[in-house]
Amino acid sequence: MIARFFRLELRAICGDGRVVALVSIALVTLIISVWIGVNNQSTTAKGRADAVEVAREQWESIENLSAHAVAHYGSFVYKPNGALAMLDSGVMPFTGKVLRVEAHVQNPPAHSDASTWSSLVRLGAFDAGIILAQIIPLLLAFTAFSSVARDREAGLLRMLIAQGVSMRTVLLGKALAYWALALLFLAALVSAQVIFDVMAGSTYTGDTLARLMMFSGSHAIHLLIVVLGSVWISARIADARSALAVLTIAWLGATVLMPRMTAQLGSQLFPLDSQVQFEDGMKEDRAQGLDGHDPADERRNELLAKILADYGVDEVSELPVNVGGLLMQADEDYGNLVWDEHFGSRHEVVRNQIGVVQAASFLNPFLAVRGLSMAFAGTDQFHDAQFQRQAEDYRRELVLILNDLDAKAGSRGEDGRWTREKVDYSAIADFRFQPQTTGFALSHRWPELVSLLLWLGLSVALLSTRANRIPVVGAGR
Amino acid sequence: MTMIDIQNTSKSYGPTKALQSLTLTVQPGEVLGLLGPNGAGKTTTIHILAGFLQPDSGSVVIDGVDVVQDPDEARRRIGYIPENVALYPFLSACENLRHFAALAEIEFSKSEATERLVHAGLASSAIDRRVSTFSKGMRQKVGIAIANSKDAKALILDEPASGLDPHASHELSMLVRKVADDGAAVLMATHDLFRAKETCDRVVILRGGKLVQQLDPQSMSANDLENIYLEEMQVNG
Repeated sequence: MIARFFRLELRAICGDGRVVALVSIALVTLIISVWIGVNNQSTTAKGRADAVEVAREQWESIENLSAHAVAHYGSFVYKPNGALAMLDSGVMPFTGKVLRVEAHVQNPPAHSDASTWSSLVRLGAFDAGIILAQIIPLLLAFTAFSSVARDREAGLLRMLIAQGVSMRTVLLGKALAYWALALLFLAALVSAQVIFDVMAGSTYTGDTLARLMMFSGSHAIHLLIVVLGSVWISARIADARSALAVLTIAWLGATVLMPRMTAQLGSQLFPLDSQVQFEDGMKEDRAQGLDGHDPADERRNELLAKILADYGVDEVSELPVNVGGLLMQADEDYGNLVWDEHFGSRHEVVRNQIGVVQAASFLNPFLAVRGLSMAFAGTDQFHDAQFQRQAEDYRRELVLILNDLDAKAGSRGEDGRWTREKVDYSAIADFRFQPQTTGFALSHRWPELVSLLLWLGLSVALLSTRANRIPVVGAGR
Repeated sequence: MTMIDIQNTSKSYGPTKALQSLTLTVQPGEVLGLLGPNGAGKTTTIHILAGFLQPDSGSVVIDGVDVVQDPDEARRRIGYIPENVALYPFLSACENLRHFAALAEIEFSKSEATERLVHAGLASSAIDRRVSTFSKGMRQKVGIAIANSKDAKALILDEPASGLDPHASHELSMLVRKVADDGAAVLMATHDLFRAKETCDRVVILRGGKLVQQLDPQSMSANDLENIYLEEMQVNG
């Protein structure tokens, strides 16, 4: 019986020229946005590959420099775009893509995409994730607002109910028809994504496919919640015009006002230091530690005495190692502790801010789907923090190797002077970003998933148990 | 057995009393006409019978089933024709009938649906046309076929002839009469006294939600019926 109403509503939708025009425009926009996204992705990926190649060539061409000098010279690491980043760019356009790795300093990622955007791009920037979470629901509201109210005003609803069919059946059939329309957008989007991607030479791993499925599933559930809500409001509100007004206000509140208010609340409750404050704090704490470069530094000299005692010698010139490398590594180890504490605190603040949004997602499914959409596209704050974490791990490993080479790659002459060996720096591996799995995304975004499933359950329960309270005839009749 | 049984039923819309302790019954094979001016409570009575509205008090029973307690079951026993029959405009008359019948879990073949529509008075040339092109009279005929599709024991009509030309209105009266003669109880709200006399076995006059007069239209002329009705309006007005 539900299928019967599903088919009829779908036929009614297809017979409405305005809806067909709206849907066609939205579909074309969606596919163009995917195409632009894939193109941008290809261009960015090519630019990144070129930059990586140049940086590597520069690294491998290093000659006649000490390991210590090379540690200061440093290298660059580049943030790769996730395989599905063009579906939902998330926070990535606003975070840096390039990070200089060098000894003693933990640089922040620099050169975000947004920093190069013109004001026009800022106004027009949207991607499939935003279209699916924000624009398609508005389109659904504009098409479904009259789905029940129209039938009630025309008297069709009372004829249907008089035949003995339940209101629940009518509402579910209608909602499923609008959901099918929504799934058409989703299918078009995912198909276009895969086709354009394959044409651009991309390959999909199992995890990418899993992410794509979770991305699609999250949006499909959200869109189902939207259509169930839209049909419910169309049924509850006395006339179609009022239903449209209520749905438009609900859309504005859910997708424009509440996300901004929630973000503001998160920032108020858990204020985040600026980058300057973060760097100043790091500098201040590092000043409490050992300075490997300052011969007058008290801690440095204490460590030097310990090294001499460990090796059972009295003078630096008697050490079988270059003490500079050991001191530098000690300096580095202390700096690493400072960074861990500061970055950890900063990350904790961000986590708390996200926690506020996650809690608010139980009041607003749009917030839930935004979080899930970014997470499964691999572009949320958690994924970004992983790049910073891996880049820092690489920096530490690189500096450790270089300090070790500085300390040990050489020999001490009869005159007590340390002579460095020539080092082949090309043997040191380049940075390789390890992408996170779908499980990683789920482990951080389960509150949004629970929220979305609860919203779905609530919507279905509302339609199933409260449908008999829907007025069959207009007010006063 | 009484097919439609309304006892002491009241309904208010805020301060407005739409029905006040209304009591009436309809027997199988009987056509009862509900007369009264606009706002008398005719449509409210029909909507309560069809389970669209809940009464504030009293009982409403169709074929032994309490409409308030079990509206879905009660609806299975009624056929309903509103003042303006609403259909799916993009479906043909035949498709509409088959759809509405299927909602009552009755599957009609195309030929069965065609036969029923012709029986309801629809020209055979119109059967496969989209109903968006239909006149009101044609839609009402499809509505009758739909209401009859369940072979319901009770037929409830809300001013079904409103806006119809005299010929279509007469045809409708004959159809209603035939349904009653086949054993159904018919409750028909109408403004048309002439048609009420033509169709009904009994008429009741409502005014301000109250039953103010009960008459046997077959025992009087149309003029007498009209005079009594107008008199009642003046007395109670």
